[in-house]
Amino acid sequence: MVLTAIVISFAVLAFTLTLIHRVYQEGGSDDVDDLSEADIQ
Amino acid sequence: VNGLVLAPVLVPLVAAALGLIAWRHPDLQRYVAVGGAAVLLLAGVVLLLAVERDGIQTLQLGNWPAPFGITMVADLFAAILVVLAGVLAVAVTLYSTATIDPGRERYAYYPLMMVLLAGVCGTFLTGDLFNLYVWFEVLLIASFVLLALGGERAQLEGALKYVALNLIASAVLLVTIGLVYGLTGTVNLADLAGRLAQVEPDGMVYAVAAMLLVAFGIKAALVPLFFWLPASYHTPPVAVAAIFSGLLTKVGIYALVRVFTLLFVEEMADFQPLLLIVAALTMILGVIGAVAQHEMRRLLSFHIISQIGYLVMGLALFTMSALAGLIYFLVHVALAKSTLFLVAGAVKQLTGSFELSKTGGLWALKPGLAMLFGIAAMSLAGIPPFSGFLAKLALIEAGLEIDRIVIVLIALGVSLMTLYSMLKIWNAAFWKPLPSDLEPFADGAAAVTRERVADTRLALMVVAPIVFLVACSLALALAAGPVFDLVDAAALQLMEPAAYVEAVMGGTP
Repeated sequence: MVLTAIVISFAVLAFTLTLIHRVYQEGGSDDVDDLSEADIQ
Repeated sequence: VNGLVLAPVLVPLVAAALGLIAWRHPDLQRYVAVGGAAVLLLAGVVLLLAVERDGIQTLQLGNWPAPFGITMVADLFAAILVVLAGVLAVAVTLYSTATIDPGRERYAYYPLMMVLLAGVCGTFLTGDLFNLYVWFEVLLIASFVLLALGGERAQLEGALKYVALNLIASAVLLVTIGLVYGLTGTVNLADLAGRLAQVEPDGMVYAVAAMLLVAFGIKAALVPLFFWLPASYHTPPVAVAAIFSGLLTKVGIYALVRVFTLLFVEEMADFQPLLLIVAALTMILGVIGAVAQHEMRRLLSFHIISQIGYLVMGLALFTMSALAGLIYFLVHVALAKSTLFLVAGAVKQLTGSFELSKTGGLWALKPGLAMLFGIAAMSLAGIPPFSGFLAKLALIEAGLEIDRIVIVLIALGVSLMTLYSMLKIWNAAFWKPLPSDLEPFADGAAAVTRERVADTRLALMVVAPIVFLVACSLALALAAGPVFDLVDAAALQLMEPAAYVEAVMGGTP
């Protein structure tokens, strides 16, 4: 079970890092307060 | 014999694998996905009939006896939800074939949708807490990618928030499973049901229950843990939003119902006030958020939260009739909600906008679509004779039976506000004339006019899924008698977990 959890966490971490990188490319910031395009108006 | 229990998981996984093999052929992927969804629906119906006839079905994977191996269990509640997942899968994959752009199709849109469905069905059918976590991750990873796929800026921002908060939920869930294993030495749900009662000190059991409430609460978007939902659900294509709204938060509710009816029955009395407060706040804040919105998808996203409140109310009341109401409500709201998202997508196709101020005139120009929206909207608001009325009636009667007047009054008030916000969409998109001073689009396309809306024909695969879902919703209301017999039986199974334990453990203590 520990091994499964490690594998899952690794995969999710890889995805998250890629996503954050893409957000930084598109939005020019990694501060969630600056990323307000999708916010509630 | 009991391959049936595994079929709803295997079918979408096989469809996903076939779709990946056909990587370069989006046409083939479409057929595979629609076929996979149809077979999933079929498998769900066969499973439901089998469970209804022969009682709870189990499958010990690899023939390891419970509690050592992983057990798949299908009771009525799980089987009903698998059928629901099948219905939504068919509607949404059909709708996707007409609306998803080639860019998304090329990057594995359909296989991801199938993996998502496999994760959802796996969560419904597993009888093992750790396995539940694994299926949760399967569906979460698929949903992360579906949400971010396409790479528009708003999508990426929404996805980031969604991913971050759901990762916290997953971490809490994983830690909790570690605690449970440390306390009892098992993660099999049926085995846990007996062993958690013997744990000393029982404070630890409360801690575990509270942590599971937080973990599943984030996934189900309960107040005050709902922030990821309105930040992200309005960003992906409507087909994705429709399947998310129909299934993902409901998976969180399913997990809550499962653990509270099976594991924490004794602790339930102490959690009841908390759950009632959470239910009330979720209903109220969700609907207030919805009333304030001027964009269809945002408005509908807030409604998801509000409806989750009703479901938690069903769980909090914790009587047989309340759980029966919860199951009926869950099916009803998943159908109605997905329909409304799909209609919003059709409105966008016709008028080019989700903004309420930039749409209009559809009652005159597209009366058929207006009728379909009207049925789904009235059903959601709880107007007789539609399924929403019966669902709310069941919950409210359950509340009155045990004298929980306050929550009943709140539920009725929220219902009224739901009606108001549905009228808001109705007035803006269907009743008022199309604004004549619409500006041309930024990309140079001409502004939408009455003539253009009237000339636009919706594709068959846009209309057919909406009709299908509305028909299912009407069937739910028309066949209320037999359906309530079924959900009553399902609720009875939930209230008397001994049968579940025995089916899994096979008589051994």
